[in-house]
Amino acid sequence: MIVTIAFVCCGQTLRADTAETPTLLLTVTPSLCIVDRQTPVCDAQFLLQWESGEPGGFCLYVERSREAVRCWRDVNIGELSDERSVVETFEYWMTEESDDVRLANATVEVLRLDNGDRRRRRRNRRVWDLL
Amino acid sequence: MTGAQPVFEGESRMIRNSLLLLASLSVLIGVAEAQSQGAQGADPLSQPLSRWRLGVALGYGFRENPLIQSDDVPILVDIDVAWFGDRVFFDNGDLGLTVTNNDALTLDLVARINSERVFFGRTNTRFITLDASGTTLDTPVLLDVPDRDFAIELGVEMLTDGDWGRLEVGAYRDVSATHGGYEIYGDYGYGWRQGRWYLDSAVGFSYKSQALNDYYWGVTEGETLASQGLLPAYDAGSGVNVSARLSVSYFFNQHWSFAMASEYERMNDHAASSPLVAQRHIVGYFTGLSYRF
Repeated sequence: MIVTIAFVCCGQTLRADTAETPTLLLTVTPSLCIVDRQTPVCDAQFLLQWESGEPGGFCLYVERSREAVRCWRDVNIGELSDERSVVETFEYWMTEESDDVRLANATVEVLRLDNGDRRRRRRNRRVWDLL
Repeated sequence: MTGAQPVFEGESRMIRNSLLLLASLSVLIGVAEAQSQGAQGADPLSQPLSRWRLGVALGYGFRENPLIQSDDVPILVDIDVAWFGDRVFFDNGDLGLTVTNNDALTLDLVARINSERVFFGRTNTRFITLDASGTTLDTPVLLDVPDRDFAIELGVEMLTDGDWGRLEVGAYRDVSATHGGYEIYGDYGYGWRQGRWYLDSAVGFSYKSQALNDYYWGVTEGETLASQGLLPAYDAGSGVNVSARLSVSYFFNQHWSFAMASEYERMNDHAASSPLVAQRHIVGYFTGLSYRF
């Protein structure tokens, strides 16, 4: 029997697993996308790379989609290039094929520098207009 | 120069009341705007930028002080506090009312505090043993740089932008009976972004009227007497300051970035020739880590 205890800490779910739950590492590149008035939408190819401690069946999901982006079987490593247009921060995550428990998350942050409001770019009387 | 300025130092009660009135009006209009906003709902695919712009930068920098017997203005912390409603906004001490906002331009009425006074807050008192011609004085003279007050100014600004960059022009007039003058300025900026890097540049000019220039940079007969003649009487005329800015940022994530910025300002002839001024060029520099909330 697999015993899973979930803790919620600092906005992330940590899992204390038995040895039967695979350890999985998921990374996404780029992890930051900057949008502004000239480029209001982030159009990018996101490279997802994952690696598990042992082979198995794994599926990759993305926010706002119930369908898996892709599933792999009997492998412990994989990668995928996912083209997407986004305007907000979103997450990819991986699960075992037979389970919906998230094994790993990878977040793509979308930073909006400005919108159409010109007042946000008005001359600042302070020397340092950095933020 | 940091965002936290001693704005009320030496201010008259009238100025303080004016500020309170403007702040009260802004809060009232802001509450009304916030209520109308809440009823509109939000499009999840196009979340509006927060009305607030809050940030803090920690690092090291300075702004040169052109006054005699003065210290440069150190910059260790820079705070950014701004709120933008549909009609009103607060931007680091400036209170604005947006009159027109369309595809072509934005027109605002703005109340602000003149920043020229900031240099006078960092001067020193010194014993002077030589006069202007280099002759040794019989007895050392204690020389104070005369003080100046902050001024509340009301004005209008016009903002426009496009693929060619952004342009801002404006005019402000003193409404606090401090200097009684006015300023007309123009500022052109252009930014480039490449991945996580952002480079921004700007050049500008600022015409200072005779009354404004003379209040801050002139020397009155009384001040000449008080300095026992070390500061000769001086009437400053109008003039044009020019400036340039360059900043580079690298964004680590949504909140953190590394930033470098530099600014150069050349004072107009009449201000630069004042007995109160030791150097005509004002250079500012800052590098540090910035956190955006």
